[in-house]
Amino acid sequence: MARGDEEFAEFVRASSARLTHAAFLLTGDRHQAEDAAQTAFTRTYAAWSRVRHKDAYGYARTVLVNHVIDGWRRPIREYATEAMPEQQDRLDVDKAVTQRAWLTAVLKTLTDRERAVVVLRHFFDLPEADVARELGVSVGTVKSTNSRALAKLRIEAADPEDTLIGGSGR
Amino acid sequence: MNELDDFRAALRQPPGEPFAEPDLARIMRDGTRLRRRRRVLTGTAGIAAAAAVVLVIVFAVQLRQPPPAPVAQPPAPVSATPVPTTSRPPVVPAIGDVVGTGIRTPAGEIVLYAQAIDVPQLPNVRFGLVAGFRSGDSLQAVLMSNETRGSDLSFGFHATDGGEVIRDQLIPVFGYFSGRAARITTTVHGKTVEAHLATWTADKTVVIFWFDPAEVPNSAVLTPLIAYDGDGKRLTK
Repeated sequence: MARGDEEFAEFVRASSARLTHAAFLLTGDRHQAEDAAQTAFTRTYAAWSRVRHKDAYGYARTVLVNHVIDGWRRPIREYATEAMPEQQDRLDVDKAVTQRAWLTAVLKTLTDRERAVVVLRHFFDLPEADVARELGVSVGTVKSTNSRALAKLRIEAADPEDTLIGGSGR
Repeated sequence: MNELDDFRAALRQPPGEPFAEPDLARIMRDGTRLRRRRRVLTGTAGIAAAAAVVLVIVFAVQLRQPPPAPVAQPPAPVSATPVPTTSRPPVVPAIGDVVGTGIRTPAGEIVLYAQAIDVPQLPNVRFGLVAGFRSGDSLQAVLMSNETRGSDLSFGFHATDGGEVIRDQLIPVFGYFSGRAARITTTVHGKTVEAHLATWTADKTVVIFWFDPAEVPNSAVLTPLIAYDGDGKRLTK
């Protein structure tokens, strides 16, 4: 195996769990998530000579998010609902960690954009400016979308980067 | 720790059952096919013959391997207005007129043109599309893309490429559509983007397209292209 291929294989081993997990949070479906990760890695491999010494992880993440967002535009999709799951009316921290089904359910109450912002902002921990760049929207849109999403999820703690709007929303 | 921190921790909690490992062999096989569709060129128009030889070698190498992938993950095109064409004959042999994109760079205007390919093993591929710089009489080829499976004039999109920085310049996403497309679009970040179009003077049924780099900055943001006819009817799925 060529050196570049060895580096790529190592890159896949190191990042696949995290990227697939992100895809799962975005799609709510294991198989879709695994397919999305496979596609993202394939496109990253095609561009490996260009991105291997740059931000390969960032490139793969961008391809992954765009691939998933593209899937949302296809006919078969899940629409967000305003109705929250009935199990809880507030996020119980301890339960949230253990009750993955609940987490998946509440994420489905978000719109596509809200979900993407939440995953990029709070899973990947990207600054708002980077989230805006990744999604092709303004920083203000990221702030308001994030605020709205957290309000839907009934998370009251303020996002440190969101001091003007406040994490609890309105 | 506040609720947001807890929510973040919940998001990052590993799944109960590990996800399937990516199929590395398949990734490399499919990724190689994507990579083979394209070639970054070196040299200038003045050494077009040399470039042609390089291409022949490249294609010959490809032929020893599994069939190249079809146009796979093209960037999102957008359609648009007729493309201006140059009146000055190019230094490099081109089939049909050289199409100016109007994008000015320190290396010259970015142009698109077709160039002949003669590879016995690819009897149905007679030309590829070149992106290059034009400065005065000089034409410098930068990136060539061509169909590598089937016919170069089969109905549909071909040779979609670009969307990357080469020689310090951002080459727009470009390609051609075989068919009477009056509009080509793609979606980037949820927004429909239209490609600029120019009818190929060597074959009026072929449309050369490219995207504004400001709207489609790289290939990672691309989504499948859609072509429409003059009546607004969708030509592709």
